[in-house]
Amino acid sequence: MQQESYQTSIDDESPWQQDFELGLFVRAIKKSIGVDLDNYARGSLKRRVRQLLYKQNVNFISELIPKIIYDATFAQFIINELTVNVSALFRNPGVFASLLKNVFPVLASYTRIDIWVAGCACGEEAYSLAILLDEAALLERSQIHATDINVESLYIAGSGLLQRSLDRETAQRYRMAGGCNSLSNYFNGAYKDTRLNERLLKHISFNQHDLTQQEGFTSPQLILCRNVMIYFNQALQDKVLISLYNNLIPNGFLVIGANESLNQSSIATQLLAIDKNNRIYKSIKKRD
Amino acid sequence: MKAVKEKFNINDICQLMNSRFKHMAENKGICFEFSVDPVMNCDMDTDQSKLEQILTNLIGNAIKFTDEGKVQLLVCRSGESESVTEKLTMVSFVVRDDGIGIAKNKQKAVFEAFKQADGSTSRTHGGTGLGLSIAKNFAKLLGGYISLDSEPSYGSTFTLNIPDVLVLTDETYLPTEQEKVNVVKIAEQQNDVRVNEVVNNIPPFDDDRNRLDENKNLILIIEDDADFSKILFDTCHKQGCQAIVAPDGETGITLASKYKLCGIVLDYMLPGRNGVDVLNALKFSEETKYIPVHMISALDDIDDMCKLGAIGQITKPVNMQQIKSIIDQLRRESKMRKLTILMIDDNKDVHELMQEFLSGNDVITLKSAHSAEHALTIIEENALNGIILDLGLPDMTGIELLEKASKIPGIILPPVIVYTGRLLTDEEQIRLEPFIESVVIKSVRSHERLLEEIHMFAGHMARRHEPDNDELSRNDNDAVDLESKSILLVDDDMRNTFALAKILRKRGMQVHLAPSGKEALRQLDEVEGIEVVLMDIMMPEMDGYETMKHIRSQEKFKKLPVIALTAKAMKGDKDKCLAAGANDYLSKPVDVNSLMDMMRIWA
Repeated sequence: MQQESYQTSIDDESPWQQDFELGLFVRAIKKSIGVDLDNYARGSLKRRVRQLLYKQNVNFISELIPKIIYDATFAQFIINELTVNVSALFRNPGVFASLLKNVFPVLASYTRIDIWVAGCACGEEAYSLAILLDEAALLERSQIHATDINVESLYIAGSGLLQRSLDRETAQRYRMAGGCNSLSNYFNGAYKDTRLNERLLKHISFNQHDLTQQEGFTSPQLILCRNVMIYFNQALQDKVLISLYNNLIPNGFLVIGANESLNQSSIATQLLAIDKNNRIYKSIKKRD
Repeated sequence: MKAVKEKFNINDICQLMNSRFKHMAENKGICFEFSVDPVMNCDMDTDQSKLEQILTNLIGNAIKFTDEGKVQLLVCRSGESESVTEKLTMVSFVVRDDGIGIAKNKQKAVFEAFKQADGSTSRTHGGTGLGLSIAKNFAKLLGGYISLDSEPSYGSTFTLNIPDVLVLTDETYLPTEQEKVNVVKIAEQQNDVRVNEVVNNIPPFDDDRNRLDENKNLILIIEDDADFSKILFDTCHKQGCQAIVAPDGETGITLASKYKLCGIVLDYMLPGRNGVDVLNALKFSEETKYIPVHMISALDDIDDMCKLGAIGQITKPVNMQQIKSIIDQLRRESKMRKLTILMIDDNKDVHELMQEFLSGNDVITLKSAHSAEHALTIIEENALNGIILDLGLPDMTGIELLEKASKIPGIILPPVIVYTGRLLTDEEQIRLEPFIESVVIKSVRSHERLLEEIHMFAGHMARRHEPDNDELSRNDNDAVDLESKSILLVDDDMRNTFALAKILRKRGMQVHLAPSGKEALRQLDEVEGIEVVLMDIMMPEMDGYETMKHIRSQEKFKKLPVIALTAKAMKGDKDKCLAAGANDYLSKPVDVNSLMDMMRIWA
């Protein structure tokens, strides 16, 4: 209820016309390419649409609608624009350090390791994992399934191309994450053309996947879904969490973002915190 | 009693209450909501855990007595109060319900005695009272009070008013030792275990912890209602068991890891950590996760606790016969959970490490064999629940050992888990598959997983003997027509192939495994009489589409039934499968009955 009153206060600030247009916009996108933005958190959706208007050089959301309904490519382009996420190698290094300490030793007991990075943006998280798995001598039997709704991002991710060239900060995060090599060993080229080595890249598959509507497609021992759910409203977050949980193997691990929480979720009791600060949980599901 | 001052935010308390009660309310078909005055200052500086306990009590109560409608928690500022020393801002926590309500002439009694308003309601709503007297005492300790506004059939509103900052006075801070004793005495007079348990978590009566008999089963009772725990305790004795009692969850968890238990009877609604919380904690800890737990609840519609690992649940009120059967069930379950596992490994250190890891575990008895010959003798002479096998043995290979053991007349091999220091090749895995359940690679934390696997597969074994749960027997007749069919299963993920191959083999089919597209093509060429191909799509190198195109390009395989196994989520897979030459497709995880139906159509 508290949340609702908060949302109303935002709505109060914006004219009704804008809400009306946004409603039409959401429906048009859904009709055109099936992506449902209805349960995305309104505040951040509005912010992103506003940026989009600026980029498209139009004043009203409704000006986009004809193109959305008559041109599916444009609709997909809009989705790519709205869902673009920025990440970085070894973002929140503490999470990786904790995985290294608490989760990798358990993964090591499996003959084949499946990891799902849900919402992989331009691949940075998947690359980071591949590097650490390699250093733990686990990469050879690992398969990382990286998915995102954003085709544009996936295309870049699949090429292994880094969005930002390696710098001091990245190297520091890599160290803090528990990396024990030289980061440059894992990349070819330099500056604007720095790419992840093929040897690592071939352990990552990239697929388009809409977390909000599609079920999972693998039975991973570990799922990372960080900073994706913050864009969803409570109901959708819960739906996504249940779907992730159902996909995990019994005793598998789930990692969510630092600003995300299981508290409101109906499956909170089926996931136990391994590392509360870093939001790492273990499923206590039974094998059926 | 002692109040500890700490700074916290009201929203956190509300969130906590929400997570604690939302689900419980939903399961009862009612709604739990909370709302904090958006303009108020949400900082408090008082005893957070006491406040939590009061609210838990009030909300728990409200949910218990509400059958339809909703329960609300509203928080707002309610003016100022003059204390001796300074002006204080008061905060109101209002707990409103649509429950049965309380008549005016009984409202006073609700706080004073440890009783519900009406003796008759206690039957429908179970147990004795809910410790409102404690809530009242706590409120006083925090410098506030609880008021009640209610009318029968119009619901009740309990309002807790406390200052936002706790003023430590002599009165609220620490009662003298004598007062403490008095509190306990009054509590005992009122038959109120809660005050007692707040002072320290000793059991409400003298239980068996100081006179344990090793030959008798020991039951742990986690229950805050002293009367009811005494009934459980006495019934345990009548059934020839001993019992220890914990009046709250935290104490229960501590006792569970301290004593060797045959089972636990766990109440759902407890002060502090509730039953679900406690159950999860028990199931999470290595020391306690295999102790059978039976839940008892005053609420009708709690979640399915069996999903969380309880062996059963029952709603209060319960009769003597039901309690007896709960105790019997715990004993049966604990006996069934006694597992004899054979560990075969030529390295003595591995045995020692495992023994050490299992020390204190009274569920698993470990037998050790250092050679294949020795292992064969043990397998022949003992009823085993499982085998842990290292592949490198001095006298024969692991595979040879399994082949030999499976041929011993009258012996059906128990579930086998391969425990190895090195990775297995695809060929090795395929050869081992008919005999084993899973492969665990030795690692720093592999003992943990080994134990989980043992319990998973030993659990499966136990269930297999119950005819009702035996999916196979139900489908036996249907599967006759597929018997002896020859199937090629193509999947790079051995976990999938293992599970599926076992199911098909149990239905009498002959199963060939191929871990890659290339291998599938080779086997189709070399193995005579393959009648159906089950093809996974997502494979490295040559994927399912490509493999199917290769198959269809050969004249002799034009009519060979190929069923594609696709990931449910992947867009457009269906059409692509059919275009690549599949006769049909199924999404993973494979539903066995659909697969059987499909094979019947095409094979």
